[in-house]
Amino acid sequence: MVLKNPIEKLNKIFESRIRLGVMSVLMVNEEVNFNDLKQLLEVTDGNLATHLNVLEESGYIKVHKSFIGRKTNTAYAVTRPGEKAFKDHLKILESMIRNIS
Amino acid sequence: MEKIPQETLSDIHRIMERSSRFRSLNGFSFVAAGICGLLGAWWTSRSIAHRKLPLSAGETVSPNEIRVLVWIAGFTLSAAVISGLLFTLIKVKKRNLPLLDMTFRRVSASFAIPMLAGGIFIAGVLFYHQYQFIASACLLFYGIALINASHYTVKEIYFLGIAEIITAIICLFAGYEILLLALGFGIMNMLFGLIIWNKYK
Repeated sequence: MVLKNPIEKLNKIFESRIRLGVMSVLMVNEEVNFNDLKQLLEVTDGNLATHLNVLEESGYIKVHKSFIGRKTNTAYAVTRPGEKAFKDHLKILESMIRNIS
Repeated sequence: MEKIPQETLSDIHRIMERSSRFRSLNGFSFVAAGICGLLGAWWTSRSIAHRKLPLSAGETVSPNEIRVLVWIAGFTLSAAVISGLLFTLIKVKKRNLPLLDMTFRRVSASFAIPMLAGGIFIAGVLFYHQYQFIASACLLFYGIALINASHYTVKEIYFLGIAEIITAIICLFAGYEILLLALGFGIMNMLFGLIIWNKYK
């Protein structure tokens, strides 16, 4: 894969460190709930919620709400398009490294 | 993208590792569990010192003797689990990580489910008075629990699991219950604990 200007091809959605972090967690875990994501990525509620919304609107993750007793449990999972987008993003990053060295 | 790509990729790798495996397993947990195992085996050998081993199938054992053995097993298991948990939670605390995070819950559940199944199975073995299977069943289910847990924590415990299963099979055919319980739950846990303590300190 030869790219003239790979930086332009990098997915804008993954520019945020937090969104990239969410995707990294969801790639290796089937389903992760809000609190666990917050703990893993060390971010605040509001911040995480915003980024999760962006990812959901772009169709990269899906939300699954359920009840544990009376508390709502919101779990997130990666979608097929999300998985593909993330893998493409990794490929471009890797090709950038190859071009530098 | 301000960060250089290498850094981004290593961040991704780090987050994937951190979210999929419990990494604070403490080697001392296994050393402590091993010491409990050895003490348990010694205690058991004292309580049945008057018996000729191995027991043959259907041999009569008094309910009182069984009660004592079940108590010893219960004490040993509780002591091993509590001291094991303690050392691992100390390590989690030292590393300033949340105590009961997702990876910890997963590794606990994957370990506890085969152990519970084993507990029920062994209760059945006792119920049918098939005492000659108890030692190997204990070792076997412990081995399966370790292999199951190895998906969610340091990979090396897979090999301890295999070693326990081999010990269980030897025990099933060759007898030497007390000796092999001391080896499987005592020596092997302690050795393994020292190995991973040395590797992940």
